Amino acid sequence: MDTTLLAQLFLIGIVSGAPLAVLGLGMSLILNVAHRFHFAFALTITLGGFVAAILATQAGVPAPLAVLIAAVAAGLVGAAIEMAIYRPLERRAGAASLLPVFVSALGLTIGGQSLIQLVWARDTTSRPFTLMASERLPMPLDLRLTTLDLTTLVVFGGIAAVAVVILRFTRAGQVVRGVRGNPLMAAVVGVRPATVYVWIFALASAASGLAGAFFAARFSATPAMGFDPMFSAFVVAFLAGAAAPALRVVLIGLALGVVQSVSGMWIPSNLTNIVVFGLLFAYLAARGLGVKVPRRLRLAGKA
Amino acid sequence: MEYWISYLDQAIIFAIFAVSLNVLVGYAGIFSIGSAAFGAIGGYVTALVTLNLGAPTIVALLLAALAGGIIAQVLSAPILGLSPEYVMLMTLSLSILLVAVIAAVPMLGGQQGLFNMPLPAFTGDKLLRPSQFLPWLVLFLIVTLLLVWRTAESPLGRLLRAARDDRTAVRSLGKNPLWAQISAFGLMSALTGLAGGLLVLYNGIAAPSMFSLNQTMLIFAMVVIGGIGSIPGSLAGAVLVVGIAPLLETVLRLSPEDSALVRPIVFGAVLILVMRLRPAGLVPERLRVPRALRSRVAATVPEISEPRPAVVDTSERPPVVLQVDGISKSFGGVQAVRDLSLQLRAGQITALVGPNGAGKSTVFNLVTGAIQPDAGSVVLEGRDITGWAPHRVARAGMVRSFQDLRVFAGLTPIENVMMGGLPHPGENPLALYAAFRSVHRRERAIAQDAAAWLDFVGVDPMLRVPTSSLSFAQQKQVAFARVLGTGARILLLDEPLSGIEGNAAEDMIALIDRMRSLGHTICIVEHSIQAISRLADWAYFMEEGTVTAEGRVADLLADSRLKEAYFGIA
Repeated sequence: MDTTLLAQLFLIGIVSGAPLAVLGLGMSLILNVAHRFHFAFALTITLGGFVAAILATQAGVPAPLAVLIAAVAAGLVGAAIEMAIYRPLERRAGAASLLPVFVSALGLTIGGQSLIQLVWARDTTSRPFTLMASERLPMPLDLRLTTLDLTTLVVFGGIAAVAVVILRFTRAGQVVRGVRGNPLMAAVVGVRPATVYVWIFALASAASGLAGAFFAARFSATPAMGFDPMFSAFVVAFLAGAAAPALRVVLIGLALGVVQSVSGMWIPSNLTNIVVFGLLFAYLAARGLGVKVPRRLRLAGKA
Repeated sequence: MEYWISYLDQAIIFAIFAVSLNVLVGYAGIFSIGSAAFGAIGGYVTALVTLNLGAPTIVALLLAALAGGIIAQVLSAPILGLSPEYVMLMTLSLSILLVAVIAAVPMLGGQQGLFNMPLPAFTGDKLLRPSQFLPWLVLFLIVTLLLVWRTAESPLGRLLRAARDDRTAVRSLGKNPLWAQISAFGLMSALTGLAGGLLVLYNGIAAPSMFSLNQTMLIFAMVVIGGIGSIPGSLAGAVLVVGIAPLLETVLRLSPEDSALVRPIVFGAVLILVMRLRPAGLVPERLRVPRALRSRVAATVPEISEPRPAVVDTSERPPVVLQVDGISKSFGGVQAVRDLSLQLRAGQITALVGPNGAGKSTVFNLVTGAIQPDAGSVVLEGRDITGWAPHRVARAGMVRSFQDLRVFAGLTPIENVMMGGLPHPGENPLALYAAFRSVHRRERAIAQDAAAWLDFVGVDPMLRVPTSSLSFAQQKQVAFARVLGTGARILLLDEPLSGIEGNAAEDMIALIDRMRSLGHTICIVEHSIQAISRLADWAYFMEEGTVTAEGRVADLLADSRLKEAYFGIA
């Protein structure tokens, strides 16, 4: 086995896993606290990528500022989706809101993706976005790490670290855990679960917009760019479990990035993305067949 | 004209996709988003056998359907063991995985797909123009609709819809819906495979893009817009979703490229609006009252036979029909039931009383097989039924009601009660297609029985409303009629008076008394001492998971210690 190649793939995996960790954490909160099957996460990722690319390339906005604006825009859209679409459906359907929320998210994703294509990518399949000059950094073992890789690692590693600390040690984290455990009781002691849900959507969507901007910087923005990261976020959230501490979710996100990357040693690089779906499929099949899954890997809800 | 016919052809093919998906989502409650996957299986099988083996068109399509059905049967084991959100994810990941693998396999044509297929032909004439395809596609649609109709609008369909609403309640009535769900999943996936084959033959190519995630979403949109649980709705949904493209191109004069982009925006908006304003879709799910009752209800509803006299002299000590010996159950570190023994005697009402948390409902769960005891035995009329599954226990003659009712919310009252009828050949997928006459006869008999039981409890059998829309007291009556409809001799009633008061409570007490008069052996868990005093021939007093006293209710209530344990006062 080529250890240098393995080390390189591991490093790439950590870099690609950092955004997945943050996306997974956002999805975990959306699924397990707000209880929304938020398929439209793909839309806010795509939106972030395109807003950053268009602002930087067409409006002349400095790239870092474009990335920030993209994150804010995605956050606002996420919060609006919760308030204007999901919440009314939940009020009417209650516990049976799974399908209406999913179908609405499907509609948002189908329509939103095509709208983005119609407005911003009508004549081209992709929009390039240069966040920074991607220069190679000096590394041992002749490993390849660029400034964009390092920035990705620092930004998403930092966000993940801050999120873990907030969720574990602050009053805000206590509120989130309380609402996740029992929203009714949380309401009795003065917490407004609906407000918590909106904040979760806003912050998770902002993080997804940020991730979208970084994906665009790496691969350029395309209308379908949100799907693979969205599915990865689902996989991370499900593998972590319903009541998972934030640190576990982050570590599973990083691990998923590494698994995807290292699988490139055995399967063609254009197919490494399907490793996520393979993992998800195998995991769910095992669940469905009643195969015993280690307690730490158990999923949310009943199966 | 060929332009419009080409869209009609596509609408027909997608209608086959949509009605098949609707039976899964709307009837069976299997939230599959794997239509594109099974379509791809059928499509590529068709392309491969046509290209490589020169198979006749009809053979290729049959193989496509067979492949879809067989793979669905294999996958049904894990899929049916999952809750809806996981079924969505699993079928979605299957779709994406399959298309990615197809695109990566050179033998399957990679991204370009398989093409240069011979023109399809059914009777020797090769099909080239849309108008030549049309009659054959109509024929396939008719066959599909017949199969779907026979499956969905039948006792099997009713069983699927009941299991969709509450699988536990179905099992408590002596029916195991698993085989019906597996069959429906297999048959509908076979039809989806057929639709995939038709799509490939129609386009003359099998390419991964034809079975992408977008395609899955479009099919789902057809079902939702048309109406979940409505077959005519799916037809309308397919026509609308496919038909919007030519409308955009001819009315708004959009280019085909722009039309392809605007269509998903329109669908997306429509999906959101439908969910918000009309969640039942354009054509809502039908509410059904059996045809056999509609025209001559007054003449055919039979009277329930004359009540037998109640057993009033408990000193007679009728024979024991249920013997529970030393059962125990703990959950983690909590001992819910501990070395509990009790007997139910024929024709008597036996009450289980005790403070909250004493384990009374757990005893019902243990004796009906909903949960397995750690120790002890349950013997029903001489047969050891310890550890039996709930549907086997029900078939053996012991059925329970639930404190939270668990009526089948989307079914009409008469359909709820018909679910109690045992057994029904129409719930067997093989008999359903082979024995039309006996299925019809049994359906009529069960409908008449169900109507009689609804009359008995005081609910109009002809009500064509979802049972969930009835008052709580009426839903209780329906739940009781459903239990009676099983024909079980032993009935376990879990808190029948909870949530009702006044006249409704009086009516319920009278109803339970009448049930005893019919000869049923009844065990009742109830907090209302007044009701128990009036109804129960014998009572067991439970504390902390075990029986601490038994006797006549009046004797138990005279015991100051028990009174204190129950009411907190001496």
